[in-house]
Amino acid sequence: MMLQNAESTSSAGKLLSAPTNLEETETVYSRVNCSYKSLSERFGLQSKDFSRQFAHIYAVRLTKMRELLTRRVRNRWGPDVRIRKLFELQEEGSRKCVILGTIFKHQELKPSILKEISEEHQLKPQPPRTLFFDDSDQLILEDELQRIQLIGNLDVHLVVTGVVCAVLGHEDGDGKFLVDDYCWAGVSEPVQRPLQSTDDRFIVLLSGLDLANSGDTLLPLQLFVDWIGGFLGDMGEQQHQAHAVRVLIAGNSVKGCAEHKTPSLPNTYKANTGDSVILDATKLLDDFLVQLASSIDVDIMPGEFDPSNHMMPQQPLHYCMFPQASMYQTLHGVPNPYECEIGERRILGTSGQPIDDIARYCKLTDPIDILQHTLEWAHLAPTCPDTLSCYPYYQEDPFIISECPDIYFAGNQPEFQSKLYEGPEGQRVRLICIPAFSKAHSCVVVNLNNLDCYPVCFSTSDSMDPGPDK
Amino acid sequence: MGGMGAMVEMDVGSLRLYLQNIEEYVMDEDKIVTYKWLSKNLDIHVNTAKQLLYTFATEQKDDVHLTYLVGGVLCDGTGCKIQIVRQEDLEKAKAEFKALTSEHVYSVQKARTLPDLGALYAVDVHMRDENEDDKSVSCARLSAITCSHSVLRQQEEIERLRQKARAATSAVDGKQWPTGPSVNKRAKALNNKEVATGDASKVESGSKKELKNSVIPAMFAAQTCKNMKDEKPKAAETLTAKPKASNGSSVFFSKQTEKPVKPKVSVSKDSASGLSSKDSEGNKEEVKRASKSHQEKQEDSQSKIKLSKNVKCNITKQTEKKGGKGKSINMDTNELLPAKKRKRILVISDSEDSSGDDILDRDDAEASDSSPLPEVSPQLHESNTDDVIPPTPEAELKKGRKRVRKMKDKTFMEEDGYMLTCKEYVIESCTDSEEEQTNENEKKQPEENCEPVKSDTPKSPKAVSKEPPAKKKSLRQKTKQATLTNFFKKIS
Repeated sequence: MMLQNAESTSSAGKLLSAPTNLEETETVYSRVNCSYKSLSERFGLQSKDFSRQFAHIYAVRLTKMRELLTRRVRNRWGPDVRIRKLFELQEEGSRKCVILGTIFKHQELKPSILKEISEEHQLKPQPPRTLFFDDSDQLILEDELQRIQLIGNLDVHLVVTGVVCAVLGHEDGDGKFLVDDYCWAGVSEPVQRPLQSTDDRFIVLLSGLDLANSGDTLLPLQLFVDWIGGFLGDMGEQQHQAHAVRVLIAGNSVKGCAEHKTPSLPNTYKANTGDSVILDATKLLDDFLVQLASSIDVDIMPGEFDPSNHMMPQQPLHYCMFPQASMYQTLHGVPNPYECEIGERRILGTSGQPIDDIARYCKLTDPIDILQHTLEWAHLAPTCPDTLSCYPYYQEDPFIISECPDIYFAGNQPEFQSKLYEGPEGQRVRLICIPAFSKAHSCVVVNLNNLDCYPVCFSTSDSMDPGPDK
Repeated sequence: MGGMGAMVEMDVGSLRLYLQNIEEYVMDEDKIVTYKWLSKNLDIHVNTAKQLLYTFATEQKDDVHLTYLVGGVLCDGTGCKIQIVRQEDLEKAKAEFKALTSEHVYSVQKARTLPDLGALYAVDVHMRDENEDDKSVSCARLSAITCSHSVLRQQEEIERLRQKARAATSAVDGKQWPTGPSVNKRAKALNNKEVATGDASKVESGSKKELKNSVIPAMFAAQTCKNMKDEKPKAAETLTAKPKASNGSSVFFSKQTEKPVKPKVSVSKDSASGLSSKDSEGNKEEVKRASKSHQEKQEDSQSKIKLSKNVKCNITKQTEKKGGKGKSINMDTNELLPAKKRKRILVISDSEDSSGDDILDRDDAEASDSSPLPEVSPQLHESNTDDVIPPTPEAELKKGRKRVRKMKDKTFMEEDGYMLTCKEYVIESCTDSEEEQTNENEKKQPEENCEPVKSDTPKSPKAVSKEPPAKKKSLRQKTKQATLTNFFKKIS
């Protein structure tokens, strides 16, 4: 494992010599072991009951987040501030008070099946859109019983449907709520977890292998695998590498983009049906996974285009898909979103769908920015179930971030980004956007001890596009 | 380096031997030799392989060409990079790094320039393919890192994981069953595969499916012929004549249509085969009403499944007649039938219909919707999903009666046309008992008139039995009219 600040290590270039001192060169390091605890039970589906409506999720979300928010509100606006429900607003008149509720963003451009049907009668087809925000968007706050339109100090373009928030202000004459200030549920207080050891330990994150459209990804990926496995590099490199404790593959390993986006060249020698492509890609993935799993713990999350269910939370890729790799105890199929604790560090993240979805519905465009917002909103995927499909939960909302993670990541982002978020109560959260490996040929290395983080790019001199790792 | 150093130092003899090997690979066989391939082939540590390649290359000077691997921290602060470079690009590439952590030979080859470094990947893949059996297990031994906790799963654990899968699929199977045949089919195909030991090739499972297709319709047909004692041999003949899957199901249908011809026989058969007398009654009625064959089919199939033992016997007989083909089928069914729960059988049989002849099945469903008797089919469907197969006609009748009463009451209270429709539904299902009804029909009209007023318990059953006949004739409008008139009478 390379250190970001390392000087040229003394061992670099030592292998450019005759094999004289085998004692030095043939050293075998044993991989550091590290405690691990999966915290993803809540993302597993115990039952599959799709007969329910989605209203329950919002109800549960509001109830649970009300507790978090109330604490915040007291901290921020003093203990005396009055928290009112919407139906009590009338009594308040124009006095200031705080209301809590779920934001609904009224968007004209939001795709709606009803609109689509009605538009079929018009002759002009509407251009397909990828972004759905508009200046005419309105914010509406809903609590259990009522809704009220929000105006004033809350920028409509910085929030999305489904966020629970508290707003301070008063009702103006025409039934709208004039917002003076607002507050999110925020990051919960950090749990102090003393680190087990002072040795450097690393986890390696990558995503978007996209093996169905691999092509020039394969050699970089093989380099990555050899690097993890301790084949590649000089002794110093290998010694560092032994401190990597876990590889986390955050989605889209099999397939990285939807069908229509794939640039297609007619394949002349075999019928390239979608199924066979995916099948081949899965076999290829198995080949890589078995090499990885034979030397390190591997967590593999499903992604948006992987052969798993499409609804959040996505269930682990099945072991039967990886007949070779699943022979190893070190292969772990994990759900998306995924939360775990590795060496006293709490790690939480998704394969990127919530971030992508939020970017479509508000003017936040920077993935790392959105990631930070979801952390402050204390919700992994606020747009579930509105514009991002999810399982119709009714007694829980597993996407609420109720405990402060140490590392919070999103997979399949266009480029590597990282940021250390420092919260008001001393929370330190490492935010990471993992680039898609198929594009950037990079993985991300995180030091568990100090949360340092840097990308490692694997390239061959001729597959070097301009700035592949930026 | 004292004594220890000497001990681990590679002796000159073996070094020569290794270099000779490399020369052979590179010069004679014209191979691209990567350090990994060499390490694997000569069974030496990867780092030693890198050194050997370097030694070899320096000895050969200009005759061979190299690719290097360089790794380190980039100058521009964008993290680290690990890169394969060609010999001639080495210095340029090294200039990119602020700090170099690795530099070693990656591959040696005779070709002047590798047009595509992707070829290096092909070397690795080729190596993997050559060593199919021991894959990376032996590879890992040669690397510089060992992982103590990377151990193979116990066989039981793997079994458990697979088992989990099976359970999941079957659950899905059960749940999604009523929604659509196509989903069902796929789920079942999965099931089949797993049952057949997970590794079964597609082809196998495919053929298996076909077999099943032929078997299960055969089962149905067998049942039909059971119902008609006399026709038994005939049925067998037709089956043997049409061994293929789609044919099998069509046989089933054609058999069904033949059924009405000999109603009495079937009734007696049923009772003989141990069905409750109620069941046989129901069958009687059904048989008479040939036009309503859809529901009957389903009911029949249920009762058939109940008699799975008999069915099995039948199938065995038939398959024996079929000869060579028959044997394999026979084995298959034996596997299938006892191994699975009744419920499974139900599912299979149903989707078998669909897989065997999708169009026919769909027609069925649609027909039941649009046919003069739409109300019956939904109820039957429900009953199909149940684990326990209800003795259809009797139970249905009873239920029907009760419901009819209720509906009537509601109708009166609400004075609503919609309620009337509901009433019709229930009544229809009761109609099964045709015989009584036809006779009673005329009597009923007067009775009905009285009933609404009093709504006594004893009267209600009568009313029920009366109404069904009306429906039987598919005179819904009439019924409505009757009740309406009743209603008005009542008010007056």
